[in-house]
Amino acid sequence: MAKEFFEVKNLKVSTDETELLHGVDFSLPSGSTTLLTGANGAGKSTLLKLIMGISPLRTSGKILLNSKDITKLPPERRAKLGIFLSFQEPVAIPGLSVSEMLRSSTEALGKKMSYMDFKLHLCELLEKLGLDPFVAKRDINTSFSGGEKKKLEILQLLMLEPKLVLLDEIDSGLDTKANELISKTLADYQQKTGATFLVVSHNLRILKHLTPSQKLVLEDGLIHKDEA
Amino acid sequence: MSYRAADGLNKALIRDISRRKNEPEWMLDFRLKCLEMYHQIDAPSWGPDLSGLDIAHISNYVQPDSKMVSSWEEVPVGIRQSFEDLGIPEAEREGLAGVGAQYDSELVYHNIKQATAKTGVVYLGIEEALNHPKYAEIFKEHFMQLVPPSDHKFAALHGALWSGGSFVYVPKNTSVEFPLQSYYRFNAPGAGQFEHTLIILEEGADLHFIEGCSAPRYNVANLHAGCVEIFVGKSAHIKYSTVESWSKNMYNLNTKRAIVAEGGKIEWVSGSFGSRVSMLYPMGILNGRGAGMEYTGVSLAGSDQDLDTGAKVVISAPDCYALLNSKSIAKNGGKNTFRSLVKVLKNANNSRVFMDCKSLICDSQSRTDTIPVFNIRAKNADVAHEASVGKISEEQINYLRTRGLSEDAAKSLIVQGFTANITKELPVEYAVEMNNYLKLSMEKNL
Repeated sequence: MAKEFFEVKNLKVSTDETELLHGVDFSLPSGSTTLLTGANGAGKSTLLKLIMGISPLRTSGKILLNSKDITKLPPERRAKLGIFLSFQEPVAIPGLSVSEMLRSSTEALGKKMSYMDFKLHLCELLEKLGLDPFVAKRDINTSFSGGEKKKLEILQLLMLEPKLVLLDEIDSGLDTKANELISKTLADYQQKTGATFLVVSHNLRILKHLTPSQKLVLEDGLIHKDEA
Repeated sequence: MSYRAADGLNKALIRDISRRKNEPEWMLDFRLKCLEMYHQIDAPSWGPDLSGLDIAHISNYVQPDSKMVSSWEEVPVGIRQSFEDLGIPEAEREGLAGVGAQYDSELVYHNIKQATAKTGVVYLGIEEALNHPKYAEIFKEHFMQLVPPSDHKFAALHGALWSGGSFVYVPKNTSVEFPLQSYYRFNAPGAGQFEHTLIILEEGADLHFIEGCSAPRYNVANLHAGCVEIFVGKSAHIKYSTVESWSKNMYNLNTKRAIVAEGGKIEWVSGSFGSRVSMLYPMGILNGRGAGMEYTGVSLAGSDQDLDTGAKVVISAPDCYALLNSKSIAKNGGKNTFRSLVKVLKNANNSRVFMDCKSLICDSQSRTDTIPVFNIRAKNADVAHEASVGKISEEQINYLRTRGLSEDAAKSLIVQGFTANITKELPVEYAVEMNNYLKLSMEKNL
């Protein structure tokens, strides 16, 4: 049996008035893909944000990565440990180019790369995702279509090379061709790096080339395995 | 030997400065008249608090232990090192047509490249121009004509105490290929610096002039009341770029003004980062048909800083245009004010003015204000103003943090993005300096 790479134990989340998650338990085996489903508003995005460390909500319970307790770590420390969240709604930062942002991120994550190597790698990745090289100079998530923004999330993923990938509705707003490209790219990435994927998707199109080994359903503040 | 005048302001000091500079009689008379005006004119009743500025406790003339030379080798080692640290000689070698370097009240270095001088471009220390057999008359015709000493209290003070600065003359249809740069280094604690820059562009001339200013920090108030006067001929063009990173004990009360003839253009690019108090409003007088002014400014006010900056434009001819674009950032309790005046006179029909000022507030202790004044007398003019104030959003910070950046580094990148369209207006080395400054300032909470 594959080693449990990532675990969530008795996670409770509440606002001032209500408890949203009542004690969630699940684990992700190393190198696996897990599909997380649930109705709108069930708390799937909240759960991904909690794992990434950017939810302002009150929590209790534990989040473990490679048996290390990361529950109290800030998001940048989690990013350094290899966690990556692909946002459902990527955030625009006017004036900050895609290239500048990626350069700052790779430096912050301690990836040693000369500026020339960085530029070359960026160009390769843009081409791989069917994006114009000029995209590198444009402001991140500003004046891009919904599909392009999703591609930019994948661009960041490929550049930052995370070990645990949280995909929040990566396939919404993608046309068939783009979905095929992204699904294939993600599958290739997983095969190459052995990364672990937690995927939130409604239309399941992203699973074209990704095979989930387990399916989790978030319902009424609890998670259960869907054995079907 | 270096010399520091006794603190305070009086006729004896004025006479002493004039004597040390071997000035003609008319200049001494002018200075003394300015001194009288200074005493008669009240300090501004609006704007930042100037009560910490006590002219009786400021030395208004500090002569460095060096004469003005045209070779860095001849500049005394200590002074030369301070300019080396700022990268001035290196910038000169790499891409400037000429450099002037002032240390406290006097220029210590002034040089123009031979190739530029051969085109007839004149770049002199301002005192040289005053006593120059060929340029003394031009100097007298223009000096403090655009900014008369009666303009305001600190213009009068400048008239009385001016020392150092540059004189530039660009002949008809001459483009200066590389920028000229004057750098003002202020080293003496509790002192004043009053340099004067006079630039004359003949018809069809083109110039980029860069001004840089910095000083180490002291616990006593320093005063900078310089003056820039620019005469832009018919169809001539000048870009005047300034990056001011004065220390936080500085009162920066500078006056900059240009008059622009038919089809000419003035571009002001202004970065204000330092000083305790700044009152700085570059002005363009568009005096001929189709003249233009562009103002691009960025200011960053941190703790104990009150930066009151902006621009003024007076349009007195038809078909002119002005674009004013300002970005300001307030943090750690800093105060930013964008203040502008747009005056469109009766005969300035078909003129267009567009003003856009955006402010970013980083925390609840900081403050930002926008005070635009419009005085439109032409029947047919197109004037628009946009202003917005925003906060750095938690969403943006979180997004960058998930990519590995610390909270401070994330804020710094967001601020750099906010000012990006202004940074690109600056010469490369200044853009780099500005970004480094923003980065340091945001991340180290300077």
